[in-house]
Amino acid sequence: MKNVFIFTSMLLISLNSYAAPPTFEILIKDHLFYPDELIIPANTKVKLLVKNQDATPEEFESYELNREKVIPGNTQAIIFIGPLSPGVYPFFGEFFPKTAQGKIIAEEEGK
Amino acid sequence: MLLNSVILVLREVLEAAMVVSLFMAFTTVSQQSRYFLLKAIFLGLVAGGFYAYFLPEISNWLEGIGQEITNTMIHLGIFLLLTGFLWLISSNIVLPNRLVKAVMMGAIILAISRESAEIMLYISGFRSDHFLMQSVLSGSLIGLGIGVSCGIFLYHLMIALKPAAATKFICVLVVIVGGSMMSQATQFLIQADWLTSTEPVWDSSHIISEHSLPGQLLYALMAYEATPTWSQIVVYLTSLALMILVIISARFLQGQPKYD
Repeated sequence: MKNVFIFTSMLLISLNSYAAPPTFEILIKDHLFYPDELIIPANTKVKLLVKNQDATPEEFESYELNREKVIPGNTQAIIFIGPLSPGVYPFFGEFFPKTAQGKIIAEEEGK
Repeated sequence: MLLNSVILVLREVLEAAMVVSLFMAFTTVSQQSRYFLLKAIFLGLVAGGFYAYFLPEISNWLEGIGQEITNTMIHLGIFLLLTGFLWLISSNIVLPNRLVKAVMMGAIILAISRESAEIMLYISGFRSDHFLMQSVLSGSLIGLGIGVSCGIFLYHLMIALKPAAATKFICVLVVIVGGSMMSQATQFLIQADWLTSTEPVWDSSHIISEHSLPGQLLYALMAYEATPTWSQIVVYLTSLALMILVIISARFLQGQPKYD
């Protein structure tokens, strides 16, 4: 019984680590995205960790990525994107769109 | 900042205004008091205030996808209430029945809560900047004004019809809004990684871009996506079919409904 338990836990842990997508960080500071151009691998699911260091809330939005998420001031948010075909996917901060602009560039590995 | 506030608030208001004006028109056509709808609008704003206030905590639920799951629940809730509404009126259970009132109120409260929470968060971000706050507030009021005007226009469009035709038209729009809710719920589940993301089935952004005014209006009306995925299309069509099935079976069980 104990062995079954250990085996199951190991299987679950390994499945979990196998499924964990690569994480990329984006900072929001003074209503700007850093970096404003983020290169990610194409055809792979990735996890964006968006840290809003401003005191004001921001909404991460992208029509091309079909994503929208409000990120309150001084908090961080997780947004899953992809798998994406190679290409450029603009995103913006809906609350401060004049300055908060950026793009995700999905590139095939080895290029 | 002014123009941005107009667009942001208008986008949020349009969707909720659709639901409210549909039900306002239904109440007028049914010759009932609209007081309970005003109560629902107020309760929706209160709920929106709570949602905005607790958003930082809600976002942290479920390892950071609390916001997506809450939004999914809200959209699913609206869909179920709208489907319940269709079932009731197709079964010839009409106002002032308390259950009909309850589903109408529930749908309005949910629709307003999410949209108003976003507006409240947006405006609250400027509380320390009095200079920007002025243009943000004026912009928001203009956006609100345009959104409400669209709702009033839709309302008058519907009540200008004969009662039977108006009820049919309202049902068609309720079905469209219901489908849009499920499409958005699916989108949030994909964003939360609870549903697998797949390649978009088509890209119609060169015909109607989501950035454009028609794209935005279509989004408010029926959750238009230029690059939808299979799961969204399947869920959208299934929910439309489900609501139509509900109308047909309710009528079948009840015999032909009388609208007036």
